[in-house]
Amino acid sequence: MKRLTALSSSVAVLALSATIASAQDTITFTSFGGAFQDAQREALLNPTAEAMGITILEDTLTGIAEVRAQVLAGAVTWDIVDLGLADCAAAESEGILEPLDYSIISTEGFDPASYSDTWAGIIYFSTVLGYDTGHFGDNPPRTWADFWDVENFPGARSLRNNPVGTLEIALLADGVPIDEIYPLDLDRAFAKMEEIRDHIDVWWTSGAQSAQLIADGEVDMISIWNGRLDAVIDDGVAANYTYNQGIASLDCLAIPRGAPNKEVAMQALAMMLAPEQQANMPQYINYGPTTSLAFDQGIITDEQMRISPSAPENLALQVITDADYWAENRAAVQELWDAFMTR
Amino acid sequence: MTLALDNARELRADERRERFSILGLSFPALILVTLLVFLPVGWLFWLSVIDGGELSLIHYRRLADATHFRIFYVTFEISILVTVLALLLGYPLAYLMSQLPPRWAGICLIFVLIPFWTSLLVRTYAWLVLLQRRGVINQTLQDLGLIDAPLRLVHNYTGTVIGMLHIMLPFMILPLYAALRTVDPNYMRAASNLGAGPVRAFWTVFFPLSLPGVFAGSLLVFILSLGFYVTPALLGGGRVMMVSMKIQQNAGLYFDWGAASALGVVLLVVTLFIFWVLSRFMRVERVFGGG
Amino acid sequence: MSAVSAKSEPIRFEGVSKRFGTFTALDDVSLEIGSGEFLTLLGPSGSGKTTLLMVLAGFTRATSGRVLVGNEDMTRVPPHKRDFGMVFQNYALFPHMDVFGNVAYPLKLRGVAKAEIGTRVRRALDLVQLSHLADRGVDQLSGGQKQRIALARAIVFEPRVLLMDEPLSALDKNLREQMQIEIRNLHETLGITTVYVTHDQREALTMSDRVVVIDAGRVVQVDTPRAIYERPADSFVADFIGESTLLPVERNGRGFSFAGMPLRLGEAAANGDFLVVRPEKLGFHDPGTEEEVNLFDGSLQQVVYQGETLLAQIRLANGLPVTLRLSTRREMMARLPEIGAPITLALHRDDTVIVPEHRK
Repeated sequence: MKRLTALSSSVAVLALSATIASAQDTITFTSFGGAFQDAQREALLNPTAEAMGITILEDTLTGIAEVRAQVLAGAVTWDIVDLGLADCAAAESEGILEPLDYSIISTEGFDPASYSDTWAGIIYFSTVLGYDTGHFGDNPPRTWADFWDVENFPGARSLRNNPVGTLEIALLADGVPIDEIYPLDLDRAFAKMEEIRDHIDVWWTSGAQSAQLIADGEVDMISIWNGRLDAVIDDGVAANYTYNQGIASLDCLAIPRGAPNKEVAMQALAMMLAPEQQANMPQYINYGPTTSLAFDQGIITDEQMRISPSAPENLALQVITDADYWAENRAAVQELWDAFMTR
Repeated sequence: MTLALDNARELRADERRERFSILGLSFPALILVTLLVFLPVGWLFWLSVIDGGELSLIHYRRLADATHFRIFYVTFEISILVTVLALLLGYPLAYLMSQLPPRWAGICLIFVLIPFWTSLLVRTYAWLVLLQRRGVINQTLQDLGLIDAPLRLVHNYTGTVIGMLHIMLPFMILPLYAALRTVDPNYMRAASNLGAGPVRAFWTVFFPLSLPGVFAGSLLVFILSLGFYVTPALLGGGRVMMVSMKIQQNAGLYFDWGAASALGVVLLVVTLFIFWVLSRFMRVERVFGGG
Repeated sequence: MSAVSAKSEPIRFEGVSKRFGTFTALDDVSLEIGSGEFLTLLGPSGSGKTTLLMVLAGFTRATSGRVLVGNEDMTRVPPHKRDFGMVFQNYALFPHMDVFGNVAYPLKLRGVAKAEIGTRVRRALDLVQLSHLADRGVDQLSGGQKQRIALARAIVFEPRVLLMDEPLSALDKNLREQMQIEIRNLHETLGITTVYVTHDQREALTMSDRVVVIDAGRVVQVDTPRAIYERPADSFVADFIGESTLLPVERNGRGFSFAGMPLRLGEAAANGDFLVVRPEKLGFHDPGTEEEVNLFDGSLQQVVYQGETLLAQIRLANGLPVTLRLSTRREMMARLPEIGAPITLALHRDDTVIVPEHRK
């Protein structure tokens, strides 16, 4: 009841500040599908559609390539897209996104790194150190240094086959404090990677694969996205994780350049980013809101807050991924990474 | 006399018309083949020599580093290994099928074809289930006490080769079987009659006569293996990087069509070169069922 | 002394049977083939003649019975240890070897020294008059050349016997007749025991010392070509070899009669149910020969001109048809009456052959 009131009041504010959308308006929202998009539908899309009296269609994508293809072909059918942080930054520098109208989008409670001219973070997720509790019992690895310590923490290991996030992990393992990670010391990071190379059983490439690895007991410790691991733990798998030295990152929402219903999409975007709606998200999936005000809406429970990747006390333990660094250096670092992987 | 000449002209016209109608019938297919085969390859080549709107060999120069050399090396090494193993496993099976009565051979053929009815992805995941650390094979071997620690069968080179081998086997067996079946049994009888025991007869007569099938199957498997993506990506555990994966990375992730195209062109050229070398040793049209 | 010497050994089949499931391909065949003999297995397709050859070559295992060559029991000897030469229906020349390679193949298998292989291949090719083709590829040869190379390959290693499975069936008529004579001559030269399979009765008569007529897996008659033709053992042989009309006869005491008329019999053993009337054995009735011939009255129905001979269709008085073959010599043609006119035919008593009905 309380939640409903909060929602309707915010809707009223937004509705006043924006041109009233007509019932015939339709926008297309595109995200990564699966449990994540199901949660977005319940938490964000349905309330927004209802409040604005519009229809929100859905589609799915796998990354920046499809957005780029639509924009460059001049045949944009998506109005709002959900992308990973690095893709958002890359898309902004490629100029394939519409500038956001911050006169109607509120960034109160946002970390300055969590929004930009053309995109705004919608969820926090974290790459965490997950482990098999059955294998480790009372003495699990708690830091990335433990992960690198093959003597005292024997077991099968897996890291992501991607420099984004993984190089940060290597530097953390080598003792770099969380606030001194960027810009990355690449020599140091790859030297540290070299140490662990022969002890990595699997270099995972997709989120589904990482979940399968820990669920099937294929590995005993793994760098994994917290939402994926939560789902596995909910299924009864004996696993756990810590936010200590996690790599927090964002998914952002953006409007592709030349989106067919730009105006309506901008209003919808503003509504989805509002704390009242962001607070809905943890009810369906354990991803954290990007505005700290969401925790004050009385919707997120204490228990949900304890495990939320963006709860202030959890966020304080983590490295926050630097989108600008990766936008600038990703291709060059990838070359080094490929050389490392094929060596 | 005039009458005969008139008639000759009409007959010539008929002949021309007939030829035109044949051309007309094949014209749509010709257009389609041109559009679907030559244009993309030409476009690929064009993209590979363009950088920032200017002609440039930068994409090719970038390939000349140790990383790309290793990627090509691994691609060819795996393709050759898979081809050789597929031949070693496929030949005896194809031979058996070629010697069976048609009804039994037909049943065997169905079993060979069954994998084609299952998605590549499903089959690859199935191997994951079988081969992984707590998979069926390791579990069974451990239960039987044959091994103490699980074997590393997947997420590496071994797993990739096993998975690819399984998928490639039908592509080896089918052309082999087709070739072996056409070897006249009288050749083997003649060899036997002339004094060759079964083993001698096989190696001196049957095997040489089956070589077109061996080449056809090997070429098919080798070329398909060169472009393989799904299986090494899923079973390689990140350790096995083949050219196709690098192409996908360049095109999908970095929007670097130039680099992706250059890789594609190099792979195409190397493949054509291999084809050309092989064709020096044998008549290619015979391999693919001509003479 | 011949250029390529050959052994010559007798062959004996003892009660050989072969069954495929419920089908009996060979039914208790016993047969002796003399040393150096040219024997032909003749029969319609499916008669078992090829199966018998395959049993002899060792490619088909008999269900029961024995096969002996010389005094050696070959029944369980695998084909590659039998040392028989064979010419296959489609020649089975190895396409991946040239002519020399094909002919040298059996010698290489026998570990013959390289120099000697050269000499012996050369001699075998000389024998078939194709030495100049030694370096040719097999697919560059004509049908007749392939045939001779196959022959050279089959004899180069001096086999104990020579087997031929319809070797001429793929050749055209002229070449076939030429090859028949060549093969026959080669046999004379080598003196090798030869078993030849054909469904062409003329080929069998032309080439063989003796012919074995086979039907439904059983040996019906074994005899010289002339005896097979002139004195068929039963209605099947009479019908299968050459042209003939079989006319039903009645037993008449110790003799036979046709349409109520007693038949004069000569030297041919007469026993059975049918009179064998071959078109060329019939002739016009010459007065004064009545003691030596049997006469048949009828009327001329039709005349078919065939070049060197013509065929005249005649309906006998009792309605049965017979055929008369006449040389197209002027004086013979002149004796033919008009169509529809009566005609009297004569059959010499020595050519009056009566055969029993074929036992199925």
